Amino acid sequence: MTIVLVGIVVVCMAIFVALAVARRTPSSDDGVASFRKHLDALSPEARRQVIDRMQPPPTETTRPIDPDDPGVHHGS
Amino acid sequence: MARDLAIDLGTANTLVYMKGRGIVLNEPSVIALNRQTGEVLATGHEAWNMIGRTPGYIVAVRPLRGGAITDFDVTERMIRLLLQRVGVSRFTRPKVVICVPSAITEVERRAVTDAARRAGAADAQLIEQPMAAAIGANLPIDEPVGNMVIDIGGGTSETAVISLGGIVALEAVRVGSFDIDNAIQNYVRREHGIAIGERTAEEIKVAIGSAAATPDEVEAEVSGRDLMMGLPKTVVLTPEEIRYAIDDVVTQIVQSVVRCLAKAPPELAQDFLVRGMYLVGGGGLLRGLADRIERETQVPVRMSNMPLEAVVLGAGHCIENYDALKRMFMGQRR
Repeated sequence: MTIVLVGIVVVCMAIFVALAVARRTPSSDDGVASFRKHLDALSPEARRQVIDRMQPPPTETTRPIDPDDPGVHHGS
Repeated sequence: MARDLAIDLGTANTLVYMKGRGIVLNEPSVIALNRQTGEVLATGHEAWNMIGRTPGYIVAVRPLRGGAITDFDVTERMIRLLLQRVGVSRFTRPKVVICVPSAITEVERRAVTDAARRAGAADAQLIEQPMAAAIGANLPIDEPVGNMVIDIGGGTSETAVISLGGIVALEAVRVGSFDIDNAIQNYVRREHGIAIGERTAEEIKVAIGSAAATPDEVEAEVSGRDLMMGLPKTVVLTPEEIRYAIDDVVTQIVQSVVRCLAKAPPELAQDFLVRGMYLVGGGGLLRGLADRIERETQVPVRMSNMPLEAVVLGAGHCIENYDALKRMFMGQRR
């Protein structure tokens, strides 16, 4: 009998916890963390592996992009 | 278990990136069919070689125009064949991210995702081409600075300003390098009285086409069918003629870049003067186009170091980081 009661209590608690988690209001930290994760996944370091899989041989008309480079004018 | 895929389903070429592997397929978006039975005879390079040279019962077609599906069944079959070639079977259904022009309608989006699912994808998500291009061109789009990317494809030209991982301003026109080819075809027909095919027009564009005068320009001999006599005829075309022929199309592309610049917030505008704009896509390889855009916008223009692959590499990065970059997908932004 006791075992059955303990079992019922455990099941009820599990259901209560599951419902509480499901109904949890998202905190402001969730948005911050999610946005940070999104930006981190877009960082040049995160992209390096994919970009490195496809590096063309250097030619006269192409060169790696350097964000600090003030720019090359194509105009003659 | 199939590896997930990123697909740049372009009007001109289709590229496929496989998760963990890189680019595994790069072929023209062309399919050759038996007109009577509907049977697929060839796809990709093999089908491209057939354009304009087929007997009556074969038709070699591009099932996409202006970045959108014009023939749903043919597109589905082309995607199915491409997926089969990279190892997808009915038992291995991968997740797929597909790059599409930002200007496509809701109906056109649905057509692309439905075609991919029917062709064997377990899930199909869409990403805008300029966003994928910016990721693939390795621009610092995670920073609060203005990054401007101009993607000139076969059927569309899109300009986007991107900052902090999102699109700030966007301008797209359904004009691309195929319209340049068409303009050359029309000019040669009108001014020289000969008919040329779309492949010849493309060859003229590559050989002597330019958007602005460049040093060391040469003339080109072009052969076609005389419209009056019906006999083969050769004429000589000059670079000035071709510039004149394609000027309307080039002007539309340049004006869309100007409109996008005008939409950008002033705080980001100063970034463009320092960082420049980045040109990607096959259409961006037209000689003198960077000069012309630079001259008309007074903003430096740079060529991406992988102009043809930038879009699929960007989508490939999204498939590698699927959960973290879910908000990049169209319809998933919150």
